[in-house]
Amino acid sequence: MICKYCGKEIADDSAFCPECGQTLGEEVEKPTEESSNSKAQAVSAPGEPHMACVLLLDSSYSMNGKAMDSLNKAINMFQQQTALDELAQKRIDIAIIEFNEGARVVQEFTPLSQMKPVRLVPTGETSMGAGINLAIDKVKERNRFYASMGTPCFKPWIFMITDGEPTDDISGARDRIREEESKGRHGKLKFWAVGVGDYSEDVLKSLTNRCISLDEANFEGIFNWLSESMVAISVSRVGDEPEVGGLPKGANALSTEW
Amino acid sequence: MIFSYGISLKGKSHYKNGVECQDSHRILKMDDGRIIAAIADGVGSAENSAIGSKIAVDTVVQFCKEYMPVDNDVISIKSMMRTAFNYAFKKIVEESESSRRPIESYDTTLSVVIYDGNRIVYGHSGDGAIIGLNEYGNYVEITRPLKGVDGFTVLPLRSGYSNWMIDSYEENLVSILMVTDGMLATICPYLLRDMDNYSNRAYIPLASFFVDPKGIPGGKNERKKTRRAIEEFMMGSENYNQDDFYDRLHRIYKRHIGEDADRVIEELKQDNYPIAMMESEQDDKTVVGIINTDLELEDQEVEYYADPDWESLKEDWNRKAYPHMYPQDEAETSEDDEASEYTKVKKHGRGKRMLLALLKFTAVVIAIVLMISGVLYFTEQGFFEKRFKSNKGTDESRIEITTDVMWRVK
Repeated sequence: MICKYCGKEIADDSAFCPECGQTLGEEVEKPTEESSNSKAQAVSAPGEPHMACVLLLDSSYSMNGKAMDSLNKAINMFQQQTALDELAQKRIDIAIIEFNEGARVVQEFTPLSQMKPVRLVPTGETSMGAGINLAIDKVKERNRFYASMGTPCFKPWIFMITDGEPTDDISGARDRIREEESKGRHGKLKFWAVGVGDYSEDVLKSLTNRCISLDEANFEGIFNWLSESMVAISVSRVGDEPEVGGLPKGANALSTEW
Repeated sequence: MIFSYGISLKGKSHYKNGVECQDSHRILKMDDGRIIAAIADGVGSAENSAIGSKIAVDTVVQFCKEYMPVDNDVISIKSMMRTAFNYAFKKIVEESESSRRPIESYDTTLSVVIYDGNRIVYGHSGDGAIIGLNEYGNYVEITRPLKGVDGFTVLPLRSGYSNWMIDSYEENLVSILMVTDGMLATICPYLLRDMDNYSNRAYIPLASFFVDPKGIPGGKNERKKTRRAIEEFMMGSENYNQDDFYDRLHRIYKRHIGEDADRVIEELKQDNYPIAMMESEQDDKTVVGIINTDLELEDQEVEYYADPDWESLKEDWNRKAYPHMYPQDEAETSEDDEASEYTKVKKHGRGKRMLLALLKFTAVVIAIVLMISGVLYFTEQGFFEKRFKSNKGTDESRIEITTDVMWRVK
C-alpha cells in the first residue's frame, strides 16, 4: 500500500510507515492536507508555560543514504512519542532548521502534537555557522514573543546534529552560543551538539560543553533521550534545571561539564 | 473591620527536590488600625534565598511600624518606605557578610503595602504583584512584575532603588491581594492579559475566592475557618474536596448576583479550571489578603463572575504563536499591509502637492514684495516726479508715466 503521509510504497500489513515513521492505526488522528490549514487545536490550558526547542539538522550531501533515512524516521518517531505526554504536548514548541548550502527553516515553531512529518533531502555543503546563527535568532525571537504575551517559558534548547566539519565560518556562531549560555545564573539557552560519522570533535567542543557522539547513525536512541528530556522539563518548574537522564547506548558525552 | 490573612506554602517542585519554601510574608496591625503587609520570594532557588526573603519581610515591616510618619502624609510615608527597602537590603548584606556567603545567594523580591482602610502606599521590587479591588467591583493591577530588558530576568531587591517602585494608589480599595509569582500566574493567567497595555487581568473566580469581602464572615471562629479553607485550596492536594471551593465561591456570588450564581457555578464546574490551575502550580505560593468589610462594594453584571471564553482566548494566543498554521490570517494580514502601503503612498503624494503649493505661494508673495519695494524705491528717488514735471498737466503725461514706470519695473 501507499503511505498517505510520505507517499512511499510499504507493506500492506504495516502498523507504521518505516519511511516517515507515521503510525497507520485508525485510532490516531491523521493530519490531512485540509486539516493542516485549519486552526491549531487548543493545546494550552490557561497559564501553561512554554518551551522553544529547535532541531538544527545537518542535511548536507554527506548525510545521504541510510543516515538521512534514519534521521527522518527518528524525528517523526520523536514527535509521536513525546506528543503522548499530556504536558509536553501543551508546553513544547518545536522548530526545525536544516543547514546544507545555506540554512533554512523547515518548520516554524509548532506545538509538538501538530508537527507535520519531516522528510529532509540531503544536498550541498555544511553551512553550520549559518544554521547556528539562524537557530539562535529564532529562539531569541520566540522568547521575546513569550515575554510580550506574558507567557512563562522554560530555557530554550537548540539540538544540533551534524556528520561533518563546517564549510563556513562558525566563529561568530561560536561567540553567540557562549554569550547566550553565559548570561544570568544558568544561561539563556542550552545548546547541544551531536556528532555522527565524520564530525569534528574539536569543532563541537569549541561550540559547547554539551557534546555527544553517536557511534552509528542511531538517531532513534538519541531522539528517545531527547523525548524523555522534553517530558522531564515540561513537568518541572520554570527556572528549575531538571537533570537529564543517562545517554542511550551508542551515545557518548564528549565532556563531563554539562 | 479589616480582615487580613497570609499564607505561604512550599511548592510541589520543592517537595520533590527537598528544597525549603523560599516565600515569606508578614502582616502587622498598627494601633491605629493600619495594616502593614509584606511578601517576598527567594529568586532562582538561590541557596540562601529563603533566609533573604525572611529577613526582607521581617525587617521592612518592623521598620515601617517604628518609623511611620506621625503626620500620615503620603509623601512622608513613601519616603519612609524607600528607606525601609534600603534598610531591608542592608540587613541582608549584613547577613551575607557575617555568613561569608555571596550576596547573590540571598536574592529575593519584596512587595509591601500600608493600608489605612481606604488607600494604600506600596513598595515593590521583583516579579510578585499587588492587585486591588476597588469600590466599583473591579480588580485593578497596582504593580506588575519588574523584570530586566529581556523580559525574563527578575530584578531582585539587590538591583537597587532605581528598580524599586514606591508609590501610592489614588483610589479607594476594598481589598488588596498580594501574591508571589507562583500565584500570580494562577490568579492572572496570561491568556487574560491585556495585550494593548501589557497589563495583567485577574481571573475573577479565583480573585473573588481570595479577597471578595462578601466571602468574609463576621465571627472570629468563622474567619479562622475561612483562612483554613483558603489554605487548603492553595495546597492543591489530590485529596482536596473541590466542593469546598465551589461552595465558598457560590456563597460569595450569591451575595452579588443572587440566583444567577447557581448557573455560573455549574458552568465553572464543567471545565473546572480554578481547581486545575491551582493543582498545576508547582512553585512556592504566597497570598496575602487584606479586606475591608466595612466599605461598600458594587455588584457587576452576571457574566463578570463567570468563566471567560477560554477557547476564544486560546485561539487568539494560538493565532499569534503559530501564524503559519493560519494561512488565511496571513493573507488578510498581507492585504492589510498592501492597503497600508497604498495609504502611505497616497499620504506621501498629498504631501508633495502641498509642498509645491506652498512654494508657489511663497514665490508670489516674494514677487509682490519686490514690486512694492521697487515702486517705493523709485518714488524715493523722485523718478515719478521728474517724469511728471517734464510732461505736466495732461492726461497723456499720466499715461506716459504709468507705462514708463511699468516698463522700468519690469
